[in-house]
Amino acid sequence: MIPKAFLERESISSPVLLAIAALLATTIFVVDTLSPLGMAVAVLYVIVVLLSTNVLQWRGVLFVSLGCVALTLSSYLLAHGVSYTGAHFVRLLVSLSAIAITAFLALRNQAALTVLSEQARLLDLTHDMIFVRDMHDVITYWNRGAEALYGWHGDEAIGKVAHQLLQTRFPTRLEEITAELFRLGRWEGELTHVKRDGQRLVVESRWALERDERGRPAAVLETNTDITGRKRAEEKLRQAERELRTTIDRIPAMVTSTQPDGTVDFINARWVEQGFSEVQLRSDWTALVHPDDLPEMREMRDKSLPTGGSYEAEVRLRRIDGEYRWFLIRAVGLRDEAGNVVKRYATATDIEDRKRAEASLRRSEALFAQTQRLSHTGSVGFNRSTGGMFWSAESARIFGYDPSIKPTPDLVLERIHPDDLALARRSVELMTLGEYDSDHEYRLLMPDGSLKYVRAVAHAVPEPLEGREVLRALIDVTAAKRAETALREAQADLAHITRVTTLGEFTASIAHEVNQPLAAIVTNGEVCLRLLDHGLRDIEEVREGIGAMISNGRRASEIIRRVRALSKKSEPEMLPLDINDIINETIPLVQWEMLSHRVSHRLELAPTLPAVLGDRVQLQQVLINLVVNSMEAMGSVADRPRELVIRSRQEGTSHVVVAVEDSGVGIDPEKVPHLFDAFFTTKPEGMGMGLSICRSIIENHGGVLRASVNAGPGATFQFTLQSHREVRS
Amino acid sequence: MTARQPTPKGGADSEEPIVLIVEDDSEFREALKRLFRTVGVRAEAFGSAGELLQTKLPDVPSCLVLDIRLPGQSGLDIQSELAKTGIYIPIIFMTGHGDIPMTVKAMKAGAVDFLAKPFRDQDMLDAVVAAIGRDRRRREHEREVSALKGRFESLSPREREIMELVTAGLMNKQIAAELGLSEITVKIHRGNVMKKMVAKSLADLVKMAESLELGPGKR
Repeated sequence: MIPKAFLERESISSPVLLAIAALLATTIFVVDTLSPLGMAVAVLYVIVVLLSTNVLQWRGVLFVSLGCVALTLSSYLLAHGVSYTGAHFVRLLVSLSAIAITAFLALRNQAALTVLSEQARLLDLTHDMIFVRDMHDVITYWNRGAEALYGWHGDEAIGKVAHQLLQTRFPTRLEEITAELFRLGRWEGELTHVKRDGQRLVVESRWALERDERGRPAAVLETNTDITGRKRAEEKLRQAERELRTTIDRIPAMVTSTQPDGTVDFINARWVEQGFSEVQLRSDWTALVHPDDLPEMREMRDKSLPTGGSYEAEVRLRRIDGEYRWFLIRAVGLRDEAGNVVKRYATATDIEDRKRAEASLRRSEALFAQTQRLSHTGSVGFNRSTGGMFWSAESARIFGYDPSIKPTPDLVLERIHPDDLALARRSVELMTLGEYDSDHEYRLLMPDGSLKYVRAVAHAVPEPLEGREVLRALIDVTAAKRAETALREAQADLAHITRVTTLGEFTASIAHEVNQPLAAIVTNGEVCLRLLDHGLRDIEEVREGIGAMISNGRRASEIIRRVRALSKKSEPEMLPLDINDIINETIPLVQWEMLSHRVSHRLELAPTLPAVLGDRVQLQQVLINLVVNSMEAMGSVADRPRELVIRSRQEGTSHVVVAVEDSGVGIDPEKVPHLFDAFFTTKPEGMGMGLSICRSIIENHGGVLRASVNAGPGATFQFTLQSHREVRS
Repeated sequence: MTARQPTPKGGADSEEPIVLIVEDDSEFREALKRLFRTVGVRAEAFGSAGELLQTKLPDVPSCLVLDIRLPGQSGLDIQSELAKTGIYIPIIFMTGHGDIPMTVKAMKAGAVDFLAKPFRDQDMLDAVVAAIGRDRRRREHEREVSALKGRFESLSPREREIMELVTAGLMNKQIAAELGLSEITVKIHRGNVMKKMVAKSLADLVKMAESLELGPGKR
């Protein structure tokens, strides 16, 4: 039975109730004793018993009941005496039985009520809100928890329709809930209630259906637990999860979490965005790994197991369209206290572009290395901020070191030829100072004693490379250098041979040049002798004569020296020279020849010229060749003067030009390009080496030799040399 | 006479002879001048042919001392240049080494001497003295020829004709036949010729004709 409201509390104070009961009992006793009424007034003691049950324990009730029985018997004896017949006696029996039955029932009821109230007190002890509503949803019970939380007192709540009072919101339709309740006798779910103060509560509600003896639904006990806080926390957690999820979906990597058995329990949205099938991923994602990459990845994974299951692998993954792309897989294991990997988180980053760039880089690196190897060109870098050096394999090879050795300036300097060390040190110094533009040549002295020639070129880059790096190319020019040396030697040999040959042709001219001063010496000597024979009448004349002899002797010696120099085979010696001196020294050697060819010459030399760096003998040879050439070109000229003009002039600030102009037959313009070819000649007796050698001599001097046709008759050959100052800088 | 003595001043003309030197080598030029100065021979030196040819040659016995090779015009050029203008001044060539072809050429053109450098001073002085003597004789001869020419100019055309034929060796009778004259007329003309030409004998006249370069071929 549902406990009645009055069971819960004493609605009227006990003494008053007892007083009422006593008064009632007294009244009944008086009426029963004195009243002539032929009816069972004593039955009314039942009321007294019932009243007592409200305030007294079962002993009290028993006492009151026995009292009532005693009063009834007393009234009977007083009114009727001891008689056991008649209607009075029947009425007495009825009254006594009524009192007894009532007492019995009241006591039994009181016992039941005690149990119930104890149970109700227990219900009051819980923090849950508990109330009972009948099948019309009218509240019939409202516990303390409900009072405390909802804010309505039991008196206010009882009798109200529960769902209206609490403004209940159901998760589903009420009919469904009710149907389930009737079907199963219970229902659980979350409801939203509104408290008296308007605050919304989320409760976890458990409903139990009470049926009466006949099994008809009688009431519903609804126990609600406030889960608003929990709900809020849950909501927060869900929010956080949602945010995390969003974050994970947004990060530019594909994220997966897997169980130890490989079951995928999470993949982020990127996978699908990147064109992967979620279904395939979830079923067996390793099936998407390129078969060639799978073993390695598995190996990495297995290896990582003892150390926490973290590994990295670069694999190709197959997209839904069948295309494989490179991904970097990074996996991290989550371990429990026992150290077992319970979960594995993995990210996959698309590195296709990087891979392609790497492949292309590898290709170009291979190409680069190959090119460096083939061209004997290495590169050396220097980081100004860290002071670190790096070099290519070819550079290491050029320096004769193992490519794995870390390069240092000292390693480089160790190989530099002692004579070039100062230059190299200065260059390294400049490099550390950030001087980018340079072009130097060094000799390397290798441990085996061999010589290497290297050329180091660095160029300024508009933006210095990251970390202020200086890069220079290192070219092994040994082979070129050897070839160059051989060529130079061959050219020098050839130049020498042609020089000697030319000198041979000039024997008469040279003899004449030497003879002239000798003749002057002889004549002067004889004159002096003659003067002496006549007794030194004119000593001044003798002195002059002897002076002339000495100067002519010197002159002869000088000519011989020049001829010797021309005929000597010697290494070219580059010295600063005045080109006018060269011209003036050369003229006497060819003068006689010019006379023989009836060629007159004129010099138009610039009064001051910057010095040029050159080899005296070779430049003389060029001049002789050009003069002879011009003379020969004028050999057939009869209708005009055979005139040779040698000019020197400065061109710009840094060049000196020497021109040999003739009035000869000129040059066929078509033949100009071939003039300087070896073995090209227009002369029947010529070898065709002269101009070719002249050109190589001038080019070795860093100059240019060219021929042009004059506006008038004849041709001009001219060569340009850089001034010494210009060369040096 | 020797060069050790002062310059001879006797002879038909008492003008002081002069040596003209053309030598491009200044040192050697000076040496030559010193040599001639020492022996008291008047000498004038030039550095090139042009310098010489621009100078009016002195009307005294002289000789040229030329270096065979000169810048611009050579010694040979000077030689032919002078010959063209009818100047036959004796030329002594100085040659250097290996100038044989030029030497031959100069000889053919009438050079009087060759001296290879270096030469003995005495050789040069001897050559100069000889050349000057030669020039003096040439000058005398030239003077004689010009006197002879003056006399020849005074002959009438007929007389010149007869003189040519006589000196060619024709008899009077032959000349008369040649010219269509009588033998007597020829004789008279011949006498006039002998008188006008101041010829002592026929041989003398023949010599004169030679000097005047007369003759059938020369006409």
